[in-house]
Amino acid sequence: MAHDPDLVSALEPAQLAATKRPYPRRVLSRGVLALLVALRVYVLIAIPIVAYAFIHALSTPQ
Amino acid sequence: MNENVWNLGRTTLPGGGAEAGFTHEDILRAQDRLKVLKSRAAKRSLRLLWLLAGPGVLVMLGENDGPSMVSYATTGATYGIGFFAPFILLTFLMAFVVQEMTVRLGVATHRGHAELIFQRFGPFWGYFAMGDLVFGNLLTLVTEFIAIQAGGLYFGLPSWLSVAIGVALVIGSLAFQRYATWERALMGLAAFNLLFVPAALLSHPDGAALAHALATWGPLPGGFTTAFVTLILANVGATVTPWMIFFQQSAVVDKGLTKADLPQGRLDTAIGAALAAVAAIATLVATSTLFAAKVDVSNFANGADFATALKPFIGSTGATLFALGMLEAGLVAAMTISTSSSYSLAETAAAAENASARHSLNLDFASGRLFYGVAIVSTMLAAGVVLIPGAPLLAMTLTVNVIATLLMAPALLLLLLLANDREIMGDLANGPLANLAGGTITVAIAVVGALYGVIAAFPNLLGK
Repeated sequence: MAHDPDLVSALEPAQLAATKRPYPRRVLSRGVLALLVALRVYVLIAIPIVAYAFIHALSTPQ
Repeated sequence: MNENVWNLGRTTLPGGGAEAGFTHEDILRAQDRLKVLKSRAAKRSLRLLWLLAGPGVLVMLGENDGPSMVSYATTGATYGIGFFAPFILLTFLMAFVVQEMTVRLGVATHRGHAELIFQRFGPFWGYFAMGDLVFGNLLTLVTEFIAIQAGGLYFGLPSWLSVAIGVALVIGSLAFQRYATWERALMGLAAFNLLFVPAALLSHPDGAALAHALATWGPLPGGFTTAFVTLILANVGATVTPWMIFFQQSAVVDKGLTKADLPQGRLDTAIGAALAAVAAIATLVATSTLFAAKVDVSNFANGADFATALKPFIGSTGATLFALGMLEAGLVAAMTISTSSSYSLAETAAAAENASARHSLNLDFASGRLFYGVAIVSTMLAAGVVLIPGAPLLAMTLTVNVIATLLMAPALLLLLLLANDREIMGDLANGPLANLAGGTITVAIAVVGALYGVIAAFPNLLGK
């Protein structure tokens, strides 16, 4: 089947869905690693707060 | 488009070079891109902006959702326009700074946000970011259907009917199987967010008072109390949320924006922020009449309560416009938020298998079973929860704000790390100014989140 050349050239090669290749994993510096560890700690603290907020809201009269 | 091209659009083509793997999804995107390229070549700048606008306008007006409009209404009815009119403007400026980074990420990498996190930071953060988002989105979707249900009740519709109509419209919008059509349909629907403007005008606002408030950030009655801080947090949560980051980057990629389109992508985001800020401030202005009349809104649970209370002040027409605006807010947000879950989960699944991406509103149902399935299942789940007799809907509405605020800091940090990743961003990586603005917003949101946590644990700390 013939291709419409205008159509084929309308997309950049990196935009073609089937030919996208995954980026390699990033090599993380110590600073970025420290930030990500801080993020994990933040999340660990945030989870009980969310749970508490939900339980507290449940006890609020509807 | 000629017949040859249309036939081409229904086939996955073999072949070499740039034509290899030219899928149905690509063909549809290429058709849209051709229009863009022709408009650019003809130097038709307004037409070009019209063709490239969409993700920014939708994300900003989508975030003016059911709970957000209730937050603005509560704020206006509790504090008037004094401090909060300029504060809302500031939050939309923050939203623009954050969302502009997603436009750059999209055009530089042609990859969605969830996909990039998984590929660059590995499976832990990939699944973490996606899981957070899908869980938060599901709860938010419930609150959108609460808004739809409440809007329906204002017009005398039974809950089941308004929720069923909402579900049908959300799922029906996916049936286009065409990003461009879906986007234009939603933009048309999102325009109804501006119904809050005539509602505000019907309250006969004092222009001088609004100008004074915008210039001076005052007056602020009541001082620094728990209620004040909670409304500050609710207003921040109403403008800057994780789903916006994931949605806009994926939508930019799905639309096919390239580096050449960055100015229009930025303008699209700025226009969206401006329109959303106008609608938000209009809501504040309309409900400030309740503040002036000292109406107690502490027991109001949804937008319909505000519409009913406003009727003596802005008339039946104004109240109807207000209720319609609330309905629209829930509906458009349900469509954009469910789609952001679809993008995120399908991108993560594709990244996990290292497979080619199957996450686009240009996919047909057979090719995008997971993509469309996520939106359909999450929409039906959320709608089902709303219809459960005695379901803790108020608890969910309150918790959604807490979750959105707490999860925003991690989402912003990952966004900043990606926007600074020169290997993938090249010359579109964040400069010092973008990092200063983005870093300040991240720290501010983290502090706000921590404050919210402290207030949740010690509600009487600052006095009522």
